[in-house]
Amino acid sequence: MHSTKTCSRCGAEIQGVLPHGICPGCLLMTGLSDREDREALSRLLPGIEILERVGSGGMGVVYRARQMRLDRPVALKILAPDLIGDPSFARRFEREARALARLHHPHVVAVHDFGETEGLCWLVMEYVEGTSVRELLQDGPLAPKEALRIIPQICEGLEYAHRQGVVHRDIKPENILLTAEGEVKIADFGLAKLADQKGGLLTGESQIMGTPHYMAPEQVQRPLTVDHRADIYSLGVVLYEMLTGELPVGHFEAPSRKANIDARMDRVVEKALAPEPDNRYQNVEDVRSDVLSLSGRREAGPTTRRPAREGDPSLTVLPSWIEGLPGGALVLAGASLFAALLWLSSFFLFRGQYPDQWATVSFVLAFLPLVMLRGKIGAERRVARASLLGAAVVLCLVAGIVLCTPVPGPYPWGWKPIALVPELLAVGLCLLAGLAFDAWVRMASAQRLVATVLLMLLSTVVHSAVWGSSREAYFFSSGMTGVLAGSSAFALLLFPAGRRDQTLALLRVGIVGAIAAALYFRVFG
Amino acid sequence: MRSPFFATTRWSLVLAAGDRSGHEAEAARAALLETYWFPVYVSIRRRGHDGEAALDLTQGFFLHFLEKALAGKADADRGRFRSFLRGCVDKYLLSERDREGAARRGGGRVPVSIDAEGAENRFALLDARAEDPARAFERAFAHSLLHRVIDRLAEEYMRKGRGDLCRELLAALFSDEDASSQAAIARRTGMTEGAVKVAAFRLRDRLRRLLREEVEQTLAEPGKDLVEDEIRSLFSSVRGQTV
Repeated sequence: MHSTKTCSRCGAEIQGVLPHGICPGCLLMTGLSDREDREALSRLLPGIEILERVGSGGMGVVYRARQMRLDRPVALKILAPDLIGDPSFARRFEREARALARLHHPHVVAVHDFGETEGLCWLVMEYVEGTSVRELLQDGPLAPKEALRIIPQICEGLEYAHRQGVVHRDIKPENILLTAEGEVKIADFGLAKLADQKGGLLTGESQIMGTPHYMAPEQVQRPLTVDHRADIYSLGVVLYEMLTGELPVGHFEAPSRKANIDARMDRVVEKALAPEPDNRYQNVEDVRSDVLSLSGRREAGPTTRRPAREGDPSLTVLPSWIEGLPGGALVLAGASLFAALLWLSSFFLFRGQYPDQWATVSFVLAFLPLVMLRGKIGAERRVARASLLGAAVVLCLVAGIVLCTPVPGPYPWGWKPIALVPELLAVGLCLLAGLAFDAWVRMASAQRLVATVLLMLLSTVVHSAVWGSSREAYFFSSGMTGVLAGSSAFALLLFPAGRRDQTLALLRVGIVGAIAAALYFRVFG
Repeated sequence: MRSPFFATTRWSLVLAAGDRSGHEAEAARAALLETYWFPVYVSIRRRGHDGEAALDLTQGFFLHFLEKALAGKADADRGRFRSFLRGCVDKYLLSERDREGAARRGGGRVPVSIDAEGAENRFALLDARAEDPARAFERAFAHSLLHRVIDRLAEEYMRKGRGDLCRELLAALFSDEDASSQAAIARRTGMTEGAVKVAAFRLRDRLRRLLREEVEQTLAEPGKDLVEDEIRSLFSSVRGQTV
């Protein structure tokens, strides 16, 4: 006995074998065509005409579409959290999409619009006509020249996004698109954060989680600690694959052994692929400059035509041999320079009468560089470490002086036992700044400026409490700040934005120098 | 290492392992047999064997399949599990013809657990019309695949507590797409009509993906074109027409 029905859709006989009386023919047809879905989507999203399905990945489906009113081609991405019923998804999606929509860069696929319709999350994006790096790799590794042309562009896009606080988390050849003119466009920024983690066999068609080979180790092991440096790892994998056609897995050979490229590229790849984030490049910008210097081009600005920014080395006054100097020598040199500068200015302004103000100087110097710092994520860590180092040095100096200075006697300026308080406070604040750098990093420049002013006021208060003269204290605090602001500006001119890390290191050194000078005056008059 | 973008399918894993054991290959083999024993059963039944004997032969076949067929060199097209399996069944039955009625094959070992009663029922539902074993096999194979796809989908929805919605949507899946059926579903589930539309879209999309995934698992090489080809073949075996 068997039951037969006819399918209302295709008219064929259905034998009651499949559950729910589903017509096997129709079900199979679903596997081939999605015309219905396209029509349903078009109805759901008015104003967008859906033309064809161009791809589907773990994240959802992408259609080529047309925004009717603007009459422009767009890519419509439908995010399909596999099942309904994840209420937090829509919220997370909105947050992520909003961050993405703020990204405007020639090498980042732009997001024009996004929304959520009855639980369906969608994005309207720039439609990129062209190919992807994955497609290029189907034919084997890329020619070195081609790879070296592409990588800096990827770096620029990534740099930009990182400065805007967006981490991609899923850099892989499929997500690096190339226009017909060969311009790079990075797609799918930040969306990886939304994807559910699923196991199962990976197939060429339905990669739910994407190939894990591009993920940085910390993405797999400690996903909550992931920051922009995970992208640098993925970039390293992509770079290796572009040059050699293979993935750097297990024991892998250096790229210069597999492709006709400079051996120095090995170092770049190695550094990008360091398993510990702290051992990697800390900024994509550094990757780019290294790659560019390898390809025989000096950093002649960005690889696409844009007006020269302040970071262009063509504007640098700094001679190149200084870059080669070891950090310690730079520190000492900078310290001397700043100490001398500030002492001179105080001498001329105040006739050398109130060198007490060096305490205030050190406070302000401690924080001014951090105020100047803008969004350079990796550099802040270095600066924080440098400040810790500076604090440690000062602490040792102070301890040494305390221990070696004979007790008591006629000291200049009514030396009191607690007169070292300002210096110690400066040290303490340096330490605090170093330890609190995480919070500092998250603050906007304006907030940092406010924090610096508050700290200055604090120093004034402390100073007046110790020396009992608030008016003078205030007057000279502001006077010194003016001097410092001027010299910092001068320093920044000398070391333009592209060398900002060095600038900050040198400014940091200024603290040490200022404190050292303060102690000198304190002890020897 | 060569880029693993070209990841493996179940069938390719099994082929690669042959008759050797290996954790992944074992799992793949088990999954394939579990899903596709029915077409073998159908094919055997269609050749005139009765229920009891058919079960026996099915188990015997799988033993043979696991021990000899996979270990052998490729003489048939191994690109598709479906055609390979069918070829094996044909060859096996020819060789077994002479051993009809012999003692229980395999000494009682059971490579695949088959629900005997369920097997007969399913077979009965399939079709009473006389049909050559090859076609019967093909059709049963397609049905088994689709069955598994639907089961997986239902299971996914069930796990998320939306089993009822899944049932509603599946029942209306290929019925005439008119507003009233969606409205009815909306009423019954307490969702808005728009939400039902979206849910239907999602379900179809998921169904499509599961279908393509399942089909791909039976191929030796992944790839969009191969999957579509296979779907077309399955379609013709289900309907007796070409797409």
